[in-house]
Amino acid sequence: MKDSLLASWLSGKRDPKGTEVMVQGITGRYGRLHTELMLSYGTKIVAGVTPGKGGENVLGVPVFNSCEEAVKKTGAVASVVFVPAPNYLSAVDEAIKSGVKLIVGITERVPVRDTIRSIEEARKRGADLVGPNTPGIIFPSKIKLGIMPVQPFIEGDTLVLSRSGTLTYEISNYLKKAGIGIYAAIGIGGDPINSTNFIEVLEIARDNAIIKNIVIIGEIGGDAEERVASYITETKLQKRVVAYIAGRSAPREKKMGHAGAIIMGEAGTVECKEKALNMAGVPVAKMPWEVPNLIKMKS
Amino acid sequence: MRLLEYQAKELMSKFGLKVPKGKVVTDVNEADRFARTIGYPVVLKAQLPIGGRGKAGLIARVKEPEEMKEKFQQMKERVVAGYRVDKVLVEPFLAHDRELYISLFENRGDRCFTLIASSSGGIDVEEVKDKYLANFGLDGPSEQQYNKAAAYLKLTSKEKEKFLSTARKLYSLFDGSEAELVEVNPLAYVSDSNSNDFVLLDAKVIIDDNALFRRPELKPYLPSDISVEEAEKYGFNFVPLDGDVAVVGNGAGLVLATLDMVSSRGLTPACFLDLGGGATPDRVLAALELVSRTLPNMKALFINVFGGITNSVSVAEGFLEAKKRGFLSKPFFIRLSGAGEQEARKLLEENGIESYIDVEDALDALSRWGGKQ
Repeated sequence: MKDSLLASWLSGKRDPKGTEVMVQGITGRYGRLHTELMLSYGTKIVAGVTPGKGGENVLGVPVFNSCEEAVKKTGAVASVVFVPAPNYLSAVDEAIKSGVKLIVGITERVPVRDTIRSIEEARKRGADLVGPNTPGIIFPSKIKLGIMPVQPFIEGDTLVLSRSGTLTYEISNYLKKAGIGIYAAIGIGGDPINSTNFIEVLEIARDNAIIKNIVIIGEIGGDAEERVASYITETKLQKRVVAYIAGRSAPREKKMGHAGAIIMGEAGTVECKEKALNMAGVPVAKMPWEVPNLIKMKS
Repeated sequence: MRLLEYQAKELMSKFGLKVPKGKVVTDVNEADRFARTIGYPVVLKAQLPIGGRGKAGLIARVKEPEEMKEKFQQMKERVVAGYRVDKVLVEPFLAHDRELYISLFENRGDRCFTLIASSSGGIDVEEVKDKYLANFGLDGPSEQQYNKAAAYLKLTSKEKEKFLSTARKLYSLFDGSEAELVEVNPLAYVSDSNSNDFVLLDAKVIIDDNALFRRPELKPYLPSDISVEEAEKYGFNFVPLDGDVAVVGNGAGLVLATLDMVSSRGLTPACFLDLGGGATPDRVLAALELVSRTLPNMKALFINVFGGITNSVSVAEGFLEAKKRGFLSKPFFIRLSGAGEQEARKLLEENGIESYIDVEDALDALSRWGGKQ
């Protein structure tokens, strides 16, 4: 994603404010609600897409039958996807082919093979794909592409990367109370396979001098946090990185809400992740409210 | 969704793979009748969705009826990892020389799939260094990868041919059933009057739950947990647990973190219930009703809501209705923060209910209750 749209925002080379955005699934209850909330935050939503509903409008936003038409008529370069899981792959595919450069997949319960296929398609066309099963992306005061409440997010110098929506809100709120603002909060998604992962974001953010701190919000399952630890050590990342990982008390082999939150055998436990992060010099909060202090202690 | 061994084997045989000709039974006399038809010795295997059954004494080879009955009854009395043994798989004991290992699984970190083959079957493969590992994509393993796996196992030419056919069938199942994991450990080469082929002595299959909507043929394997099914209808994520304190909140990550918070106070969670985003009073009511009805061990309720898209007022309204209908007979502790918190807390206060903005205060109150238990 080196030269991508999301990379230009994360590296500070381009201001996300004013980016033309479309919403896929805008006529659904959920799509409509969040279109309204994104508009009120200042996100410039120029188009909606729902096959068969072209010509209608939602909150003044024109609706088109296809992504191709929406992009041609409005110049949208980013898309937020709210379609139901069975339609996710075709919706993302259509967005990629229409030339959109950044796609945020809010949709939950997407089959993992559809996720893998959509990642392949996005790579072929050089588009950024985030999600699925993500609350989205917010650059406070600049743009919101997602479903997060806006109150916890104030502008600042901390990058929040997370596998969980509500924990992102909760921890960002603790940061706000401690006077720590956020450069961007990116939900990579709660699924086993994330279209954009922690490392890909870190790879871009590392060269942005404005970003001083990075908060990793992880949970049981997989090895995403361990990979962050290796990345920090191997590339000597020069940022303050702290973490919180949910699921210390979770039973084994049970899916805890998120499709990706499951301990298999000995793999994916909080202890395992904490150990790897500690070895890389990353302190791990035992409770969400300890995160701001870890940032302050380290600085 | 993890299939039980007998279900996995049933699915495997549908894909043309060879499994021992066993029968799943719940009754000792039925077990004996079947054992006599196939002839002793037989293998008894308790059907639980957990690993390490051998070490836990949930698999036994028995030589004659008396021994079988004794072991069978012992197994039926076992409760392991919260699961009670109900079904037992009775299989013929198949003499064999070599035990191999093979698995296909979703590789989360590399965002693809992985094939593992090892000549050290029968034991914990994570401990094994001697194994062939290959990543592959949506088109499946390449010819070269299959052949390399076979070469790695140092098979005879006859074995090799059978192995390649077995591996390809396993992939057909993995792909066709949209599995997250297909694992055979051990995979044995059985050479006797009936067979000259690889037989799957054990089978583990985990299906991608999110793909079930387009795999109706797998519906019969869905676990029949009534409470979980009901929760699905409302769109809750519900996991019943063994402890005392029911934990309800909005958002999977927050509820998971709340389990940790409750546990850090020396208490044990009775469930994980995620209301999902944008819960209405009706859904909150349904969640509290479900919790009060299906968790007999629950001694207290802890609610943790960080309002965003979910409005705290909806939670408070649902809560009050649940109280009115008598679903809240146990002590409860409520934390409401974020969107609508002032109005929600006022509403609760007017009804004589204390709530907290700060989750630590709510936990302190829970701890005080816990201390008196």
